[in-house]
Amino acid sequence: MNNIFYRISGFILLAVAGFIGLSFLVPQISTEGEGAVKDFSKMTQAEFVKSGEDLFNTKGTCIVCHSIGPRATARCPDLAGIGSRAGARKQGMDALQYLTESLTEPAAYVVEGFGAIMPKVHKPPIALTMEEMKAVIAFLQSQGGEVTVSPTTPLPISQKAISEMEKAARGEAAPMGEPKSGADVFFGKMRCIACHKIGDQGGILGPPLDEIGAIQTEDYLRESILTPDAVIVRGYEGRKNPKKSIMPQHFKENLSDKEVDDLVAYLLTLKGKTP
Amino acid sequence: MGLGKTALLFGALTATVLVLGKFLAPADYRAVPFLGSRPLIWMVAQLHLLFAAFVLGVPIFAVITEAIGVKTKDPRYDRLAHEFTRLLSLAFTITAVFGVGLFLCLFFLYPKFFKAMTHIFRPTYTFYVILIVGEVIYCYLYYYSWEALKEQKWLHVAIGILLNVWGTLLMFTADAWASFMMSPTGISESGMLQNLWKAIANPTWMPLNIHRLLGNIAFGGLVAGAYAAVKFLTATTDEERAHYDWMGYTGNFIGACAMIPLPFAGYYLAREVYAYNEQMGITMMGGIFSWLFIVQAVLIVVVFISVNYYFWIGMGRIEGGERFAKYQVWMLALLFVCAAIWMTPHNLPATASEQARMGGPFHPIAGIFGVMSAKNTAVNLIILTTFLSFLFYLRAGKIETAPWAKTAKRVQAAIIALAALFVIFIGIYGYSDIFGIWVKAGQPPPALERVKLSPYQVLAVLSAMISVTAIDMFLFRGARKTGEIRWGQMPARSQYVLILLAVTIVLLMGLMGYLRSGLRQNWHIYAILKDTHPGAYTPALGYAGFIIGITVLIFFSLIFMIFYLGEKKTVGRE
Repeated sequence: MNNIFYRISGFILLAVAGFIGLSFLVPQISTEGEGAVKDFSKMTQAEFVKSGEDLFNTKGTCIVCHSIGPRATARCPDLAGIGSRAGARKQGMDALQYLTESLTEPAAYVVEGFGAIMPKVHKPPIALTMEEMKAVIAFLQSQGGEVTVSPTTPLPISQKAISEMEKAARGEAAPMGEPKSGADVFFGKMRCIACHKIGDQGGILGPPLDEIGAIQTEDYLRESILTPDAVIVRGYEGRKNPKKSIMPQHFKENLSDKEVDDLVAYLLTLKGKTP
Repeated sequence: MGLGKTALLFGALTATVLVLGKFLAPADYRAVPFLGSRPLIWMVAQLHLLFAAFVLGVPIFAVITEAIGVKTKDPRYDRLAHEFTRLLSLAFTITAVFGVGLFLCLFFLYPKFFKAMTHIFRPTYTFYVILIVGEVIYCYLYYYSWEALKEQKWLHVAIGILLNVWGTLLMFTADAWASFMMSPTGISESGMLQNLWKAIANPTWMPLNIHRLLGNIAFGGLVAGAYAAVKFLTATTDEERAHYDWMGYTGNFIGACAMIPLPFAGYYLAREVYAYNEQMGITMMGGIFSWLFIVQAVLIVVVFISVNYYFWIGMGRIEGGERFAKYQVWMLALLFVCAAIWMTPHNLPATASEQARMGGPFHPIAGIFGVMSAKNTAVNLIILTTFLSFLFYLRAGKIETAPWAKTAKRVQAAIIALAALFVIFIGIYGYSDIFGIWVKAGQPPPALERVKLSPYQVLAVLSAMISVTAIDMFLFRGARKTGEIRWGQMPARSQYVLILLAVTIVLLMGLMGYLRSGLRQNWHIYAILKDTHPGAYTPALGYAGFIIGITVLIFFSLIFMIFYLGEKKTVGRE
């Protein structure tokens, strides 16, 4: 009886060991996480380029579609020699500008014969940081060209891309707003109710917000709170300067990121019923 | 310890821990000494899932066997169902232990993530608790009414079905959370909940439900088979050996039946992953996880070859079975060829230096031959071969007597041959658009169109299996028996095959769990909530294989313990 038990246990152990062995036999590919932030500033140029290659093959997932060298079934252009031809791809753009644009606005220029399938790498789910993008660009420049980018080189990146990147970075801070806390901000701390009407309550200086959650997006609400002048609802312009909102501009200073998230979450619950 | 006491204990424990949690300094993540929080939560979650599969899979298996017993009036099925239901109470307790363990890990070690999920899914938590209570009540009712309802067996089966309805709803609820992490919908870009139902019914929810449901049935059947194998090997009388041989065969049969549609369910899940986020799909099949599918192919091939081998050995205990032995070597050869095709890598990530060494992005000999057209063809032929093995096994002890038998057999052979040829034709078509429909004659069709060809292969195989089985049912009605099945006269190696099947399916579950979690890479909730844990990374396959292997060993140790204690309980009662 014991003998059979040992045989069965040994057999199971052998099967599992075989599986583990097989798992080690195949190429070992891992990707670094967000927590392992590299200090690019202390790297030599060769290390910086190597980091870019690692990102190209892992977190950036570039290798999934691009190849370095011919690949019959590649979904995106072969990037062998991209360093030497990037500067001549688009008129008026040098290699750095072209590569930066390709990463952040890939649809701006699509190589003939390929579809516009590339995602913006600074946005989720890839969400490369500014430094990581520089490293990838350095690697791409190293493919037949001169590496001009270093960790301290400012990238010619659009303001829109920077704000998108910041938004992606906020993803790290768990911005799941809580409507209950947002209501406290609305009725309490910031006294929004003094100017905005919800149901029968509130003032009339600002637009009513009864249905704001049903008709507006989260982005719009966030912008309205933090930059009231960005979009001014008709009829609520300032008397002296119509391009200036009458809404106070101090929300940015007086509210924490969490409170803004909470407030937005609360406003999104307003869908036409008095809360 | 009874389930009620266990529930109370864990309720009190959880409440204490929640109160204690209030005194801890706020943090996004907390560390665990020695083991680390990531391997710990991985193993606890995997063990919880494996036991959940056990407590969900075994009742399905039990009700199916009980219903067969009622229908066929064969008391062995009832004994088998009862024997397994007896194990559920202890298995529920262990599942609960790991469930509470997982909850505590999430609550203390990953508070940021737990808070985010709670923010979205809070209403479902209550529903989940209600379902657990319902599941436990029905489990008790099912087990303890066995004797009382022995004269009203269909009523008892109905209770069993209700038990499975609770269990399935329970799984669907948990699947909503797991699938949401992979394909979140119903929320804004920064995580604001906009529609709870959309968050639940996210794109990968239903495919995951179907995949897990089938997987649980296969798991229940194969674990039952392994249990029977251990009992067979330790049996001291012929009667015991005969019973456990039959039990092993039944478990394997139910497991194999559920295994056959599993690749199709997997395909559906993968398709939805692609549809949700093409990049995630490409990362899965052509990116850093592509080697995982080679390991998966090895495991599935082990399963299918083992299932076939078991049927072939089983024919040895049936008089008249030897007439099919001559086909086995050809079937084995076909299985190996298909396995080799399935395991041929295609689109694998290689660095510039690796590509330079290979002389290009593909293997110098295999080239582009490992594309899905070839793999799907191989899988479908493997399934068809397994079906043939089973068909031969069923025919082994019988000779058809119908006057139209010869014609019917020719029609059956033609159906199988046509299905196989169609599957092969579609496979070749994936390499060369011979009619010039999409591109031009001789060129391969675009990848997207090529992928769409796969369902036709599946349909051909399923239609062939259904029509051949239907003909067989009429063909062998009133057939002449060549001899009885000599239950118990199986060599020991056949029982090790059953054990291997159970180990392999559990390893597969662990491997695919790693894939589902790993696919999210740097995200707790894909593209919504980042994983900013200082030790976060997506581990390589070797390390993952090690963790999965250890987890599987712990699982089997605990399963042995459940079987041992279940045995003691019965002996004690007797």
